[in-house]
Order: sequence, then C-alpha cells, then structure tokens
Amino acid sequence: MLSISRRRVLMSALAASLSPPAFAQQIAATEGEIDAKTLAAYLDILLPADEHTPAASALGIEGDIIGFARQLTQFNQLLVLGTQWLNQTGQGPFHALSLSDQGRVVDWMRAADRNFIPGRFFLLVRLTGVEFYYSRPEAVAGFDLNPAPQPAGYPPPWQ
Amino acid sequence: MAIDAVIIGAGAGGAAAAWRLCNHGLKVLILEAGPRFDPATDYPLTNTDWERTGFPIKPGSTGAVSYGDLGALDPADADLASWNAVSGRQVNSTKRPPSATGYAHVQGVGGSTLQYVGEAHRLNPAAFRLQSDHGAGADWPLSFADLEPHYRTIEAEIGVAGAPIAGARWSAQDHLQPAHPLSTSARVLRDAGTRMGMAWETNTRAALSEPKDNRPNCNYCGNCTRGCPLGDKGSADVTFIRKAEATGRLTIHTGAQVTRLIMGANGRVRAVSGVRDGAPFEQDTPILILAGGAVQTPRLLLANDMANGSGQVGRNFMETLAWTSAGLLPGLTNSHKGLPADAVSWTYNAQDAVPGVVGGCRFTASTQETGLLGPMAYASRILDGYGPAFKAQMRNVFGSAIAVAGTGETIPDERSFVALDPQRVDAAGVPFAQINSVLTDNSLALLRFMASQCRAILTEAGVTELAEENGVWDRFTSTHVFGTCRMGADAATSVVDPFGRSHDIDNLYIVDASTFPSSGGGEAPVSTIQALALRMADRLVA
Repeated sequence: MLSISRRRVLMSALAASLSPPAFAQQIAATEGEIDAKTLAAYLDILLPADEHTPAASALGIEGDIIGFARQLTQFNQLLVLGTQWLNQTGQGPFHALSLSDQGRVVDWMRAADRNFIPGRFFLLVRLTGVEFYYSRPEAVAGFDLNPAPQPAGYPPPWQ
Repeated sequence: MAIDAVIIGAGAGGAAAAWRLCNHGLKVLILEAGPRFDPATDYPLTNTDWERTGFPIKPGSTGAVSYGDLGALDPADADLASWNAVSGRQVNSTKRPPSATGYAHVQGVGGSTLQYVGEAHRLNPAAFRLQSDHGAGADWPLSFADLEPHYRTIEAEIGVAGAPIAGARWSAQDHLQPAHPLSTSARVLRDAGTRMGMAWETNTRAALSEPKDNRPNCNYCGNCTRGCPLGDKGSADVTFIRKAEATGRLTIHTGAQVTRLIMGANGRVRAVSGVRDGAPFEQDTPILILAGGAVQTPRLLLANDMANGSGQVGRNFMETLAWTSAGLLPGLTNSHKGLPADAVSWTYNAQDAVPGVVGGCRFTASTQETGLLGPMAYASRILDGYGPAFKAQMRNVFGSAIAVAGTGETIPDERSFVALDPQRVDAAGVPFAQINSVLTDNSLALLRFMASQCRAILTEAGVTELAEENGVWDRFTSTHVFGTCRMGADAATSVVDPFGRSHDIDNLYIVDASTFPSSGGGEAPVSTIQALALRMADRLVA
C-alpha cells in the first residue's frame, strides 16, 4: 500500500469537482483577479490565531494558495469567482465585514451544496488552506510532533 | 561490452536475479528505464513541509500506463464507497476510474521497493493449488517447498525482522532479526482482533531492527512509503543491487528503455535495442531476463509479438483488493509513531477461509501506512470543521487516529488483462500498456467481507464513529498486480515454465509478478518474486 502525493490528490479532487459541464462553463467564463485581502480574511475565519499558534494570514497562507493556483487554471478561476462572490455577501468587500458577519457567511458556505461555487470554494480552500498551514512549524506548536520525521524518528517506547 | 546476461528492470526481481547471477560469476547488465534515487537528497523527510510530498517523481520514474475498462459502479454496492469526514464521498461516477496513483509503481533502480512499506511475506503453502483445491484460476507448477530455501536466503540477506507464529509457513525463523515493537494503535488492534477470535502477530518486515551491512536500524519515523533516507528498509537498491555491484560484475544503465527484442538463430533472442538518454542503442546478449513487472513486461512482449504462443501474454491480470477503515479513538496517543504495517492477521488468508468466496485476505494495522502521520492528514481527511474549536480539537486528538486495512485476492477473469493501448504511444513510439480490470461478484463479496471485518475490529477497539474509508470498489488502485505472463507446465496455457523460462524462446526468462498463476491471499509479493528470481538464476547456471 502506498501514500498518495498530496498534490496529486488535490489536483484529482479539483479535476473531479470541476467536471460538471455547467460548473466548468461558469468557471471558464470567469475573469478578474483573486482578491488576496478577502482570501486572507476568509482563511483567518478558518484558521484564526489562538494562544499557541498564529492566524493563517500571519503565515501568508493566502499567498501560498494563490501561488499554488497559478499552476492550476481552473482552481485559480474558482478562487477569483469565490472571492468575487464573498465580496457580494455584505455591504462592502468581505475583508471589511465584521468578524461575526464573516463567520455567518462561512457557516452558510460550509453547509452549502458543494456542486455550487460557495460550497465548492469552502471545501477546496479549506483543503488547500490546512495543507499549507499545517506544513508550517509555527502552526504545529502544541503537537507532540517532531519538526520533521527525520533525522530523529520516534524511537520507542511509545505509550 | 561482453556480458553474460541482460536484465530489463532493476526492481525486486531484477535486482535479486542480478545478485544471484553475479555471485555465480556471471557478468550482468541491467537496462533500467528509470533513474537512480539518492536516499539522502531525494527523500525530503527532514523538511518541515514533509507531509506535502509523497514519494518523489523524477523524469522517467513512471511507466507509460493507460486505463481501459475498469468496470461499472452499481449503486447497490455503495456501501463500499470511499469517503472521509472532510470531503465526503470521493467518487461520484457510474464507471470505476483509476485513483490518483492508479497502478502505483516506481520505475528506477530499486523499482517499487523504493516506495513499498517493506512487508516480507511468504505465500501461504496452501495457495499454490487454487485450481485443484477450489476450481478457480490456476495452480502453480511448483510448491512452497521449492521456494522455502530461497525465501530464507532472501530474508537473511535483506535483514527481515519479525516473530511470526510458527507453522508450515514459518517452520524455522532463527535467521530473522528480532521483531519490531508494536505501535500504540497496533496493540489496540491486536487486542481487539484477538477478542474477536482472530490471530494477530507481529508482521515480518524488511526493515532492520538491528544494524546490518552498514545499514542502521529503523528509527520508526513511519514514512516508509515516502522513501527511506536511512537505508534500514530493505529496498532492492540498498540490498541486492548494492551487493551485486560490490562483486564488480554488475553494470547498470539507467534511462535505458528497451523497445525491441531482436531474434537471432535457433529461436533465441540475440539482442535488445532501444533508447538511452535520447540516443538509440543495441545490446547483444546470450540471455535475456525480463523484470519489468506485470504491466511493463507484457507490454514489451506484446509490442514485439514474442513469446506468446499460448496467447496468454497480457491475460489473467490480477489486481489486489484493498480496504481501509479509520477513526479516532479517545485515549489513544502517539499513533503516528512506529513502523507501518507492524501487526498482521492471517486468520482469513486461506482461499476458503471466507464463506462463499474463493480467495483469501489478511488484515494489517495501517494507521501509519495510510498516512495518518501528521496534522495535515488529520485536517484534510478525518477531522472536519474550522475556527478556534477546530484548531483546539486538532491538538486534542492528534495521535489518536487508528486504522486497519484488509488486503485480498482476485481470481483471473477474461475481462481483466493488459493490452497495448490502441491510441497512445510513448516518446519511443511504443504503445502504452492499457490496464483493463473488472471486479467480479466474487471480488466484491471478498471486498465486502474485508470492509465488514475492518469496521468490526474498529468497533471492538472502541471507535464509535468512523472518519474515513478507502477501497478499490470505486477507484482502481493497485500496488501489487499479477498474472500477465503466467507460469505453468503446459506451453499451451502458460507463458513461462516453472523456472520462469519462456516456453517459446529458450534464452528468455521472466522474474517478476507477471508469472504468478495466483496471487495468494493478500500476501505482499516481493519476497516471492525474489525467491523465484533466485530459483531461476540457480537453474540458469546449473
């Protein structure tokens, strides 16, 4: 049995999620840029700071995701469309909303049908967000985990 | 260059054959289509973003493979769907697609052993008589007793650790290294399985528990499938290849794809030709040994229309059934630490062990093997949510994941075969190998048993809610594939004889899993491939 490359898994999920024709057409017709401020604010709702670890934006996770999306046209366009949609959910852009209003939007997105933009955006940005976030040493403070599996490994005993 | 034998492929079988032939005094050339991997630099397990990467892909390190008919998905079988707590169901399709990895393999020096977990299994001695005892598939033209001395040699040379239950499969084990300690989740699974009446034992593992041959013992990082940077895992590159090269009689050409087998006089292969690093080459050889695996070996033979008097080349393809169930177990800690697949149960390994099914399976502790080793896996697969509560929950539950896996047998079926892709060719003009593999009712029944048993074990262990299940019903995923150049005594129904020699071409041999008439009940095949390779080599020089 084998581990699966994270990148290949993500690309596979993206390809599958973008396959319905109507959805793909909507993505393909999208123009514009990803709103990085809105994406950062959105990620901070998902992964906020706490007493042990920083918020996603403090680690520049939105930049990691935008950089990753440059390799994947459809994902990039989903981010464009998603941040445009977020910016239409209140008075002014999403990143200018109150934290409670931002939270209500994200709560709704989590429960939304994942075959439509808000639900799909929630799932895929969460997947890529936690991947980049928890790959940073600052994010795993408080975990019983070496910074990397090697060179120390985990010699026994284990309880 | 004057050589005595050419081997195509430097994986498990090719490496073992090379070592044995070199020790017999032959000069051997391996032509390997893929690259070499440097454990120190290619396996980045010292990087803090280690969890983002799997086993590395380098130029030429994957073969040209495509997929044909993999079967349809009947909604009535949806209890076998793959899903997880974060993304839900993984496949929504009416046809079974290949997974992201599909036929999971590595082309390179060491082959797929570079990314294998390193289980060192012997076939069940009863598994050699599938047709005679159960009226399905084919018998092996040899017995366990024919392989046993070669198993022993391999295990001693590699440094296999374990303490298997004594019996027909393991009548002696004084050559094994001490067993590895069980991880925390394996202990829980062993105890739960035992309460259910299953026999569990420490798995036999090609990972050193004591230093050997300038290789260190394992330090239990759990990441065997990402490549072992220490060299304690018994992959072919650090064992048989290294030892064969030390004889001074082995040469390896990497980046060398063989495309043609050239016949000479008297019905023998005279030479091979192909492309090496973009330039054509031709190499004479008195003996040719194919070791490309059950997908690439039939591809080469079919592309050359050779060694197929039986019409069996490419047929009898057998994938491996796989199922994993996972959850979180309150109170369990440190489950990310330890050796993958450290405990195993052979209770249902015999081919009549599961009622109503022909074919066996085994169960394995698989928390590490399934990749639940770091926070990224938890957050993206088994723990949903977001916000402060999610982050706190991540810290609270990390180390409590637990997973158990079933691995099972398929029976040859006419709808499962490897063919030349009618549309796609590689850069050298050779058609891709097209995998066609359909799960039969028998396979689905065995897969359903495996799923049911995995769920029951986790329930018995105290898991109240599953968090992830993965199986092959809705995605073709197979590391272990078999059967496409079947071994047999009858030239009318098999491709090679009991020693791996072609029935049609006297100096052509095969030493990979394509020769397996049946797969056994979920055993990892590497040790058997290597035992067959040693047996072939000894016969060749006799």
